[in-house]
This record gives sequence, structure tokens and C-alpha cells, in this order.
Amino acid sequence: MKKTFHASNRRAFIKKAGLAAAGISVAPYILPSGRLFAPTGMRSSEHVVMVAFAGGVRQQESVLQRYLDDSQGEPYPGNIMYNIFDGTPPENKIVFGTGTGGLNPIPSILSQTIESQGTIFREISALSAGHFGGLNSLVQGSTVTTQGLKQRPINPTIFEYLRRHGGYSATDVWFVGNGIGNSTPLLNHSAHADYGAAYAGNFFAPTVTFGSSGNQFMADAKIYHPENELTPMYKLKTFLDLQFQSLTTAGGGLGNTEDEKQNIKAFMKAMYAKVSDGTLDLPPVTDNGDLYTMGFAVEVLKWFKPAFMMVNLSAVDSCHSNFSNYLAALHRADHAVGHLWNSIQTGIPELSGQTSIICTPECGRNLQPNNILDQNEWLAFDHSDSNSLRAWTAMAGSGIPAGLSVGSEANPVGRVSDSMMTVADLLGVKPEVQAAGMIAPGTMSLLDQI
Amino acid sequence: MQGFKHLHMATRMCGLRSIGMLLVVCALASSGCRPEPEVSFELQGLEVTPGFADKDRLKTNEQWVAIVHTNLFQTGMPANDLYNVARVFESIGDQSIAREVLLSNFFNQPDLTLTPTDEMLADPDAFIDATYLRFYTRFPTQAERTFVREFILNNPGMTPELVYMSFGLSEEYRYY
Repeated sequence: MKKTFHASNRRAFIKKAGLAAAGISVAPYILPSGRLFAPTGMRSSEHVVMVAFAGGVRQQESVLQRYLDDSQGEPYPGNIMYNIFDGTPPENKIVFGTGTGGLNPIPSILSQTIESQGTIFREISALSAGHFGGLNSLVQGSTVTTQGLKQRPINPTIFEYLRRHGGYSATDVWFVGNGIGNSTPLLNHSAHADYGAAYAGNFFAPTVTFGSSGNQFMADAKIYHPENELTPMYKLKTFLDLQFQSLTTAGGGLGNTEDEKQNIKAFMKAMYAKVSDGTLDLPPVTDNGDLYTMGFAVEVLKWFKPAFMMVNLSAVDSCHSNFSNYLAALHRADHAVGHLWNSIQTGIPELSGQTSIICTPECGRNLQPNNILDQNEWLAFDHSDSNSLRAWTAMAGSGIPAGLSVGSEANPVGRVSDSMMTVADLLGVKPEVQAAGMIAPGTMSLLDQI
Repeated sequence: MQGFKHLHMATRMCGLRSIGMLLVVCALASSGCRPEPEVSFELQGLEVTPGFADKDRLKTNEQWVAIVHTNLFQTGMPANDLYNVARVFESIGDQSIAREVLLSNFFNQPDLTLTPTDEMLADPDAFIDATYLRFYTRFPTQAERTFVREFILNNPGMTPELVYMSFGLSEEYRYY
């Protein structure tokens, strides 16, 4: 039968062919690293650590160094975060240290404060007065009003931006959580269709993973021979998966390669052994969960030497019911940061001199107290008013100007979401993050605001 | 006389009809009690199990742990342990690593009894069928059985433990 080729068909063919040619010409190229395009930003730091500090921090007791002066009506100012900020500690009514009543302040770890080594943004705006919203603004660079607890971030996280656009591997980006409450484990990747689990950061909540439960169920894991045992086991698993995937859409995962998985398992084995032997690289004082979390974060840095690690501290949230404990936790969060930065500079040669640190509270805390009194008859503070939207950022290290102070109480500069964009800037993916268009309006790198 | 003759015929017909009805009822009753005839089409009998195409619901971590524990130890995991394992799973970002570490931990437990390797090699088809049923609650297809049999026989390092590991970590095992 003779096939007729109508003019309309010809037009359709030419149109489709044209579209296909155009598609081919603009199609992304898969680079050896797995990313689609080479990142267009300039990388100014080899490694970045970001500390989500540390569960709702009032300006008054942190960057403003007013101690009891602006909270309990007692005229005793002073700096209880002397690893991060310059300033003299309080001399009276000491309750934040160690020993009975917290009378003994923890000595400073750093010989030079983060402030003197880097740049302080003294007054920035938080995007949320809550922890989860605040943490989301730190990892996403935005907050979405429909974002709820028990829900993955709606917009991509910094982990995904780095992996998708920067070509970083799964073990190059880490999120070390303070625990598994408040949906913290959900923050290592978003539910965004173009990003998601395949670009996630690796995650541990080490106080759980390597705590008593983890030790009970995971520490006794067998080590299989990589060639004689694991290789055939994975081959058979691959066959089984291929059979199943032929009819289903199962899959997913963080995109750790098999080598990366073996490396993570070896790390876990080593951590269980270190916990058992008492040889973890912990801060000098380890009397709360944040300090243990930071000890494990340092171990992650030592083992994987990642390009980016975010660590979340949260013990200062005790301020809801106990102001004295809040002061102690704030002092310890500073101690944890001191240990982190000291370990990077003196204990991990591959990171020393090539790493930046960024510390930002996810949100502030109220101006007025609630009516809960603690053991010292001091009032506690929640977080919901405009004072809860006040925060600061301290940063130092590679690519960060030293000795700068930006903004003030009367002149706020920057926002919490800028920390994420600063990480993107330091690691060379800022243009891609901006182009993706999913950050809060006005969010920009803090380096562009100096 | 004529009238009597008609009456007699009518009576006879009624009697015949009753007898007929009785025969029909008896026939029906007797056929109802007869055993079902066993019909054979000379095909091999086959136990029907669900296929993998029906498995489209992802197990939760708790479900996966509970089922794998039961499959391996033939006994349920205590609820408190299950809760704690689920917490540990939440604390690890890559769940495939969590599953692998937990499984290898199970294989290190002294109270776990596995099929001996020589038993597996003596009758690989029986072992394969039992493994598919244990983990996937279905029989293997002929292609699967052939592949797994050849794989086991051609890889001297394969033990029942490693086979169970492959099945326990497989994608199909994550679904029900």
C-alpha cells in the first residue's frame, strides 16, 4: 500500500525533529563526577563546618554578653561564651560551670576567639521563632509555611545543592544531629522532585547510633571478607533486585557507593570500639548530650574529611523551664565549638588551614520570661515573640575575613538563611542555588554583605 | 359405567404421577450424596503463592526488623527491643547500611541456627524454594531457580548465611 505523506505530517515531523535537535544541543552533559554541569561558582574553602547553635539562644546572654543583667534584674553582665566571643566573663553569681552549683567555669579551649579570627554578624534576623522552622531555614535557605514536623523539607537542602551541583559525594556531606526528636533525622534531604534522597547528606544522631541501643544491636556486626563474601553476596542481591525492579519502581537510597557504604560501616565499627575503650575524641568536659554529639562530629571529620558537615546542638532549649541550666548549656555549646575548631586546626592536618566554620542559632528566645522558677529563683524563657527572631552569626577560617564586626542591635544585617547561602558560596555552588530560585527572598551570602 | 371408567383412569394417572415425583426426588437426593468426582487433566499440582508484582507497600523499619527477626530466629522480637532498634535506624541516614549492619549482627548471634552449607549443596533446589518461601513468601520462577542454583554451585564461598543476607537486603524483601 502506498503511504501518503501529507503536508501536515511533514510539518509535524519537521517540528519534532527541530525540538529534538534543540533538546540535544542544550541537554546536560553527565560529568565524570555524576553532576550535570560543572559548578560555576568559585570555591574559596575546601571544607566548611556549620554549627546550628544550639536550641534557641537569646541575644542578651550570648552576643550581647549581659549574663543576668537583661534577664533576672541582677546587675551582673559578662561573657560566658569566650571561645566564640571576645569579652570578659562574669565575676559573680557563677552557675554555668562544673562542680556543685556550677561554680567552676570551663576554661577556654581556643587561644584566640572565633570573633578575633573571623567575622561576627552581631544582629541578624531569624526566619522562624521555632526550632524546626529555624533549622529548615538553615538547611534550605528558606522557610515554607506549609512545612510541618514529620515532613521532609519542601525545598532542597544545602546537602542536595552541594551534591547535585557541586559533584560532592555522599560521604562528602554530613549532618550530625543532636538526636532523633523533633524530626531532626528528616533534615538531611528534601522531598523535592528534582533533588531528594539521591543527593542527600549522610546522617548520624551519634548519641543514639552509638548509645546503648546502638551498641546492643549494631556493635557486634560481622566483618565479611570484601571479595570472598561480600562480592558474591552483593551479586546475588543485584540479581534479586533486578528481578523485582523489572516490575516495580522500588529503589532510592542516599547514593552512597559500595565503597562509601563499606567505609561508613568501618567507621561505625571503629566508633563502637572507641566508645567501648573510652578513646573517643571528646571535649575536655562531657557532661551533656551536645558535648558528646560534638565529640562524634569531630570523629566524622577525622574519618571522612568531608567538604561540608553540619552539626546540630540543642541543649540550651532547657531554658523553657530552667534558666540556670540554659546558662550552663550555652557555656557548654561554646565549649563544644571550641573543641571542634581546635580539633580542626590541631588534630586533623588535612583540614587545618583549609576549613571555615559558621555558627548560627536557628532562632532566638523571648524578651519576657515565663513564670517558671529554677533552683536559683531565676525565671525561664520560651521562644515566640519578636526577640525570638533575633540571632547572630560567627564565622572564621578559610575564605572569611578576620577581625570584622558587621551590624548591631540598631542595625541588623543578614538573616539566618544567609548561612546556608554562605556555605554554598564558600563551596562554589552559589550561582546554582540562586538560579534554582527556592531560597527566601533577600537571602544572600554573608560574604556579600561585608 | 362410563363414569366409573373415567374415575378409575384418573386415579391411576394420579398414582403414576406420585410415583414419578417420588423417583425424581430420590434421584436428586442420591445424586446430591455422591462424592465429587476427581477430575485430573494430567497437569502437575501447583501451590499458588502471591507473586512479586503484588508487593507495592513499603515495610516500615519496625515491620522489616520484626519480620527479618522472625524469619531468621523463628521467633518474634520483644516489643521493647523492636522500639529500640527502630530508634537506632532513625539515627542512621543511610537505611541500607542500618539494615546491613543489623543483619550481620544477627548472624553473629549464637542462638541463630542456619541450614548447613553441605545440606544446601546437596539439594540446592529444595534450599532455594525454602529460601524464597521464607523471605518472599512465594516460589521462585524457573529462571530464578536456575540462576540462583548455578550461582550457589559456581561460587564456592556462598553459604546459606550469605544467601540469606542477599535476600534480607534485597528490594523485594522491603515490600509486601
